[in-house]
Amino acid sequence: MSRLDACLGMMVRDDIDVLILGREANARTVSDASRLWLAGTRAFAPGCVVVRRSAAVHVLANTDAVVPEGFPVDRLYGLTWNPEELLASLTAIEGLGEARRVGVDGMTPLAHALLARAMPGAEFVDAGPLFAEMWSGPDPENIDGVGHAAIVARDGLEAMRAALVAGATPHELRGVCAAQFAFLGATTPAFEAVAAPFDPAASSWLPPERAFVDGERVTLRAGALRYGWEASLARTYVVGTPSVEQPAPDAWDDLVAACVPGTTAGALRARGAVVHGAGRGVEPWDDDLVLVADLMLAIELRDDQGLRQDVLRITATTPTVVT
Amino acid sequence: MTEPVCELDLTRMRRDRIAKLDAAMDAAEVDSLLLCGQQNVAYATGARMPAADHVRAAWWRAVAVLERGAPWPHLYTDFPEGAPPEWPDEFLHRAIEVETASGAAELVARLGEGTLAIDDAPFPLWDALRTRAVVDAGAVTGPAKLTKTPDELECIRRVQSINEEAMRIVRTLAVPGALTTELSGAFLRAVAELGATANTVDPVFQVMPAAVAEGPFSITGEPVFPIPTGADELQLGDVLWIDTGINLHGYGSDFGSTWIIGREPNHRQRDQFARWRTFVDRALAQVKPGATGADLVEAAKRDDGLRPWLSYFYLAHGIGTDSAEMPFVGTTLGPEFDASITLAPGMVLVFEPVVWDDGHAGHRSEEIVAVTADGYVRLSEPAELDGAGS
Repeated sequence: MSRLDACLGMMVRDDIDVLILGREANARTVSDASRLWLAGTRAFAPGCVVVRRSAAVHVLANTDAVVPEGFPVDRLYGLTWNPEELLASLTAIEGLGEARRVGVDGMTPLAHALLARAMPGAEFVDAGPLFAEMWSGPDPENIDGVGHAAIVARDGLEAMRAALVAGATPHELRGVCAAQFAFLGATTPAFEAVAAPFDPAASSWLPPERAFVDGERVTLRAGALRYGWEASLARTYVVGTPSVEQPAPDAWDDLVAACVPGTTAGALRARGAVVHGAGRGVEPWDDDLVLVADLMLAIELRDDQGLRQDVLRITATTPTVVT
Repeated sequence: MTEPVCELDLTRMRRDRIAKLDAAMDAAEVDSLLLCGQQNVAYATGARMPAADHVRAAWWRAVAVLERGAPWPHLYTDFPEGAPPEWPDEFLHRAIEVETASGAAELVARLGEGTLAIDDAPFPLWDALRTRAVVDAGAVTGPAKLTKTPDELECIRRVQSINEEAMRIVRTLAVPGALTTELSGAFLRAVAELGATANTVDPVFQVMPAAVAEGPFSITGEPVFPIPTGADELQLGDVLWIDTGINLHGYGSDFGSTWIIGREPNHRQRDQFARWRTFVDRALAQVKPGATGADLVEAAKRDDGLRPWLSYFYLAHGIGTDSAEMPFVGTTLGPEFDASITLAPGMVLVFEPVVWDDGHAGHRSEEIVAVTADGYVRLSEPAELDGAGS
């Protein structure tokens, strides 16, 4: 069953007539659109529409070059700065005007005013749980997509490791990773690569503006977004010639061994791990999510000596380290 | 070289922005300003966050809350090391998870009473605000951001300069046989090494078709731009349109150019650039305080009255902590909107007309200026055919 079919099935079950999606990962999930990547958050706006009655996905785009081959061009609606034009595009979508319950993945006062005109009397409900449920089950495309992204992420990290010497700067290493990603055809990251002094008390995501020194512990992080799927990893090194990878935190092997069907995300977090799904971007998981075979899991653990992060594929027994 | 606008003082810049937000809250009679959009949080606080894909960034989002008359906004962040050095401890807090119902309720409980303005809400936060009347934060951030202080202008000039410098490196690599993704990689590496805070958009290196009909389907019948960069192998004579944006201290650059691959631009291509130059120069001649967006639109029109820019974009847009922000000129918002834009010192304009000769492709470049007391000052180098600014 395709992801869209699964989505439509949940819309029937949850009595949701229409989805209005602003988050790119959600739009990717139902449409496979690959629009221009932008860093950071953006205000909620109707970038993608799913109508239950017509089983149709409509995408905000001026061209079919950013949607899969065969996507009907009459289901594209165009970019505009004028809310009245956007309103006209939305109301022209078959089945939208009669929607009673509408799932959205965010809201702004301006968007609320606009949508209330497009769908008078509609009740807005959170589309988040629907996507969380879709991401809680295994998906062969997800395994494949994350696997390809993992190859890119791994290569990027390796390029950074090779460039990690005394005198190198966090900026330089970030550039090395981006260039390696692009060499492999991926010009979009899950996040911009990070090389930061390891500090058990800091996030290790925002490096200072200085060069690394010999003997210093440095965490490298690389995350790729390849064909709309993401994978990431992190390792800690001691700077030298060459820089030496530090062993994983002591509890790492036990943590990985616990990543088996039946374990909950909450149980892994209770071990101190950072846990989320890896797929169309970060896939946030609730504590009560139960692991099943073929889920793709990003997991991170740190101790006083360093941190490690990998993407795992859950199997019936020991998980496979994808990164 | 563009000339420095001032000696950059980031602390002064942040202080001035808080004062502008406070004044805008007074004018709009807003009591609490709740900012969840990262560009707005960056504007209100100067806080840094890692550059990441959309949903990851949403889960990592820092939140700023400014109460009317307060000396500082409250900053809630997972990345306290990204807070400015002068930030008082009592205004710096651990992140509140506004993507969850419990986090949203916790934040809402901390908000002051009165009129609340918000820019963007994850649904659980929107739900938690159901009992409150909320207005769009644009009523506050719009007026505050519309004109820039000298420090803000200097940030834009510097980030644009880094972008241009990186493009001079990339231009040498754009030769027949090169892959467009290699250009992206070289660009991303160069901007990192040159000190950019982050990259903000997948760099666009798009080979343009000679005619719209030879390119991808276009919903408007105009050239389709931008399309995400794939691994296209450059061919002799390709017309390459470039569009990139990076970030320095929270401020965006916007670089646009047209390169001809593997040979000198031909007569028509030089003529296209000359026409582009004419349209921009006519508009620039109008740029001074008191002129309106409508004046710019009128000046930049072709001799036959048509508008030489993509109908779905603009003749010009502002830039700041957002890559495209007010003032917008020549958009689908229409003539009345353009007429309502009155230029004032400190406004920034990114001009990006397009010359298109169907069958012979066209020219697109970008130039950035800031309005001064009696005209304008350049924040980008003048556009250059087949280069990175002269």
